[in-house]
This record gives sequence, C-alpha cells and structure tokens, in this order.
Amino acid sequence: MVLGARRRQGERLRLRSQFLASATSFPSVPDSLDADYRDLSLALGANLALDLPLALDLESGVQLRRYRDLDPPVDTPWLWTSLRLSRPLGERTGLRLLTSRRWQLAPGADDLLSLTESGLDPGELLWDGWQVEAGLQRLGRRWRSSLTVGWLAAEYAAEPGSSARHDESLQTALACSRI
Amino acid sequence: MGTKGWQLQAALEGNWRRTSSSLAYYDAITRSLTAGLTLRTP
Repeated sequence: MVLGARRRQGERLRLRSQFLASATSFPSVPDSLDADYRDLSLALGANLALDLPLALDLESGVQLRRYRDLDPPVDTPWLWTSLRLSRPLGERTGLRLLTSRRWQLAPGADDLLSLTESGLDPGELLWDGWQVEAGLQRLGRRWRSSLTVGWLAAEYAAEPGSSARHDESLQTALACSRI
Repeated sequence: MGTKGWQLQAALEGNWRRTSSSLAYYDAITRSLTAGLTLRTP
C-alpha cells in the first residue's frame, strides 16, 4: 500500500506496505536434503523525496520462512530494517545505495543447521548481519535493467554453546524485467 | 498526477539463480507474488 501526501513544492513523503508470498525450490539438489521453502513477508516503508536530486527510503519488515519438507516442518522468522538513498544520474538512469540489518529470531533448530552445512548458499539460510549494496538502474521504454554490487557480513545460526560461523561475501546481480 | 483513488497492484515474478561453490553448483528457482494497495492523491 502506498500513501502519498505532498509536503511542499518539490518534497514528497510516501508511506507504503507490501505483502510477498514466494516458493523456492532446488531442482538439482537431492530431494533428501528437503531444502525447498516458502516465504511470507510484510514490509512497511517511508520514502521522502527532497528538493535535492535525492530520495531517502526507510523500510522495516518481518519475514516467515517455512521448510515444509522437513519432518517436522520448521518455521523460522526474522526482522529487517533498511535505509536506501537514491538519486538520478540522467533522465532514465538512477543510482541507489542501500544498507540493511537483519535479525534472526529463532535460530538453532538442528534441521536448519544441517542445511547451513550442506553446501547451499548460506546467504539463503539463517543469518544475522549487515548487507550493503550499490546499484545502477536504467529504464527503457519496455524494459528495466539493473546492475547491483553488494557486500554481506553474516553471522550464521550456531548450535547452543558454540561460536557462530562468520562470513563476508561480495555479490553481483544483473536483472532485467519487462515493464 | 492529477488523479486520486485506490489502486490494487499485484505482480508475479520468476527468478532463477545458479550458485557455484568449491563443492558443486546448484540451481534455485523462486516464484513470487507481491501485492500492494496504492492511494493516489491529486
């Protein structure tokens, strides 16, 4: 949901909420790993467009992930909050910088720990930590394309009494979507 | 601009990722639905 209200000339505050439902599967991973999951999330955000060619965006949300193939099924929730700065670099090109913090609310389930150690991308699993991204986006008449470079510092769920594993990684993504 | 009222927005997306590590590589496929409600003010 996006609510808009003009504050003064050239400056605008918008409030929004968004609901997401998704399902992820791993077709090349053995079924015995039971890694498939479903996500539900709800986010609330505020976006302030300043008189400068700069916009600030603050978002917080809660996400619930269910590994339904585990026996018994495991639900794992987390919270996140993010701050994004964006500005245009031209008529159809924009730059954005984003930093986010994530808190895992219920780490420690043994079945999830085995997934973390299975070789799957740990960024998809249980972690607390920081993420920083810089991205360029270009709008065409029918297509939107973006290039993102990110840094992730994640601390993974650990068994009670042991130290959490810590990883830092660089990520790049190229995305293209039809408008 | 210049219009007001509620607008329901929904999007279906598909995402495919291939990840490689020192052990092996694997694919991940995500299907997602996002929904929101927009209030436009004139």
